[in-house]
Amino acid sequence: MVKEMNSLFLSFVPGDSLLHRLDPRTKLVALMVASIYILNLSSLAHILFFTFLFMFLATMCKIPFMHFIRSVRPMLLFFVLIFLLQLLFTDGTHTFRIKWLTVSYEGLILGTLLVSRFVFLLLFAALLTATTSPSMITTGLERLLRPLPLRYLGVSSHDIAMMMSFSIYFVPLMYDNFKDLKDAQLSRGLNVKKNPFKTILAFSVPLINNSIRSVEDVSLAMESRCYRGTGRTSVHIMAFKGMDLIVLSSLAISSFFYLIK
Amino acid sequence: MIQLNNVSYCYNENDYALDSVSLEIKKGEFIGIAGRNGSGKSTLIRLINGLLLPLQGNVNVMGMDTMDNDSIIGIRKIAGMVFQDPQSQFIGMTVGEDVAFGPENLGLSHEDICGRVDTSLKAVGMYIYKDHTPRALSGGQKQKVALASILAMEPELILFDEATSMLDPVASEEVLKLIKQLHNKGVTIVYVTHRLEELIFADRLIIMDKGRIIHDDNPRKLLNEENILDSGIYLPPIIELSRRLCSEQVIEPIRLPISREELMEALCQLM
Amino acid sequence: MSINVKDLSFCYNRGTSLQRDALVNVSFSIDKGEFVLIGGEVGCGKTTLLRHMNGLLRPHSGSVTVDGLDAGNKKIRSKVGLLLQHPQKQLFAKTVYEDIAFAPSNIGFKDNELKDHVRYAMDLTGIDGSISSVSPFSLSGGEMRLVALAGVMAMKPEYLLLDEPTSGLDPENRSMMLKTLKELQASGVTIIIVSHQISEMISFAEKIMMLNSGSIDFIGTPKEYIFSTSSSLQLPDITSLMKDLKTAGMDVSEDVFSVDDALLQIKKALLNVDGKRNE
Repeated sequence: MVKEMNSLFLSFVPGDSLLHRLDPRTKLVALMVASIYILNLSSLAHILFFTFLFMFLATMCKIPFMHFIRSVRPMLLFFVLIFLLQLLFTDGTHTFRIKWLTVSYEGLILGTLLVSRFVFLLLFAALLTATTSPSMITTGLERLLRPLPLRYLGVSSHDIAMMMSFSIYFVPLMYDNFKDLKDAQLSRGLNVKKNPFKTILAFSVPLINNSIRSVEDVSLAMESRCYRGTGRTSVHIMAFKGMDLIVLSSLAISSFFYLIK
Repeated sequence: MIQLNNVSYCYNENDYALDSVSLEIKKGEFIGIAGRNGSGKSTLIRLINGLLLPLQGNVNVMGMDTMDNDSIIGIRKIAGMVFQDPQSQFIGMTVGEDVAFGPENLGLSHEDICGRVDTSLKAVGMYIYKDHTPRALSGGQKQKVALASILAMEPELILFDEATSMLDPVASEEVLKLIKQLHNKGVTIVYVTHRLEELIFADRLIIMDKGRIIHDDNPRKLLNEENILDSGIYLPPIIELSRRLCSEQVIEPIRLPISREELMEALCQLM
Repeated sequence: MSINVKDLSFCYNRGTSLQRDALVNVSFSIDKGEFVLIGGEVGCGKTTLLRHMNGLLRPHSGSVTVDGLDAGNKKIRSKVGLLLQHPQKQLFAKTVYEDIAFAPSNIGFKDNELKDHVRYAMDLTGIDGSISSVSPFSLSGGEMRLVALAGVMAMKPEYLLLDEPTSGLDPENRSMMLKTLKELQASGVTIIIVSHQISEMISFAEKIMMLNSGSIDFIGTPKEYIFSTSSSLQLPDITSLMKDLKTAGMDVSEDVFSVDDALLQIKKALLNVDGKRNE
């Protein structure tokens, strides 16, 4: 069966653009820095700046805009909700009425800022995932985490990277499993609207059960292939190139000015 | 090469999955293990590569004890394992990454890993799928990749836990053919199955029941035993037919035909 | 009373670059009470076809009707039971009884009627009453599959669709499953099985259909199947042996599936040879 999931939410789009070729560590650091800026986003000028930045990067990696819109779409309802909450429950000096509703300009601006923070976070994350294969992300993350004294927490950087790649890997598997379950329970006459409580049970119990079983199976397979969480090498080579250095140093410079401002 | 001395194991208290089993496996052997569900055959091979540890007795793999924490990685390097479910043993996002997982754990260099990935994928005829996602492969293809990822660790022994039971007949046959090729190259094979017809060419056939080894002999000799059915084992129809033709003296009972070709030959001689 | 499939076509990801035909102009009918096998390689469209017969998928062209009703009609869900592959993965209730009662209670049966349905399903599938209050997850693989089957039979369906009902089971449980299905048929249920491993089920079937890349490659009786030149011919070992013996000149018939029959045939043929030799 062809998997429709492939073209969905935060997926990788192979290519050969500058963004594709950057070291995953560079992109991860850049995303982290960008997230800090985005979370501090406080004016319409900022929004404009990030819109242009995003457009520029997205054009550069030659991926259709539709792909990024898909990454935001699943959260749309949530965005509308927080926007409305801000709009309706922010007291302000300048108010105006739309039919029976009283809203404030402050609310309008606060709502817009809040929603655009979430939207930009998602868009930039999508930029990373679209231009970096999942395994490169996890390998890059593992390398970034390696200097941290994680062993005092009882885990290794490899453990964290493995956990991450599993969560990426399990989503499509769970989705397949969910589709089969849906067919099976519908065939047993399940009426979703009439009996929501039973519906939740009929899906969640088997989904959790099957997931636990596949996790057990996978961990056996990992163990028997000598996994111990340390001393691993990687099939992927990580090497900073000229471009990575340029990107990283410009990030450093911009952060410097951002901080002393 | 491998010695099990009076090994016992139980999952629940007082319910022995393996009851004082002793076994020796020699280098280069092809050993088939059959038995009904719950007879302890999967438990037995999981004890060999240290996925389970014996409650009593000891398991020795080329001089290393599985109870010894420092040698466990060495043991698993020698004894690879292919599991039943083709889907749930995938670790990588692409076929190539999955095969690389074992060598990565061994701490090999980038060049060595790439070399081993390519060689083992070519050995099972799956090289062209190197950059594919495992989800899109058929069951047979998945099992071939699983075999390649074990081969990439260059083991001396491979344990197969019902590796073909979820495949269709054509795919099982292809996987089995690959396994026979490996055996011819000197890899020791321990093959667990409930399809006896897959084991007729094995050097030794072991039949298990209730956590014990109740038969351990050459397949042809064993399949001719009167009491073989006592173990609850299910005989393939062709072997059942051969046995009945022998017991009714239709064909000479000296050499039991154990495959369709052999039975065909024996019957043609009578015409 | 029958399932009628007429000019059925279906493709996945319609209208996208991933579009792929799964079924192309498939037409056939299944009479009530039949035991039907649908075979073919992985990806030939057999599972897609199965999902059309109880309305989980809707045809892009053509029609599927069950007893004259369109398969999209919700009423046919309880008339046509479907057991998917690895059905043990759909179990969820605390006890075996509750899991089997899930389907009939969804349809709206209560109290004694509900009990009746569950009892009917347990009797038919041979599930021992003593396990009705244990957790389905504590059972063995073979037993779990029977519970899942009972969970579908509790709707008292007239048609039962099964996807790979024997896959992954050991020989003992496989023959138990097939025996149960044959008993279901004897009680009047139409059995339709989809499998890539049909050889061991041929002797049970009345109609065999082979699919190849979304089209029907062969349709006929088991006897016709044995003699057919279908590219995907899969025969039981015993039948292949009898065919080979016949080709080699032995006087045996080819449509033999059991060891007993094969033994009889071979002995008879060899007696005749001896007889001729003595003359």
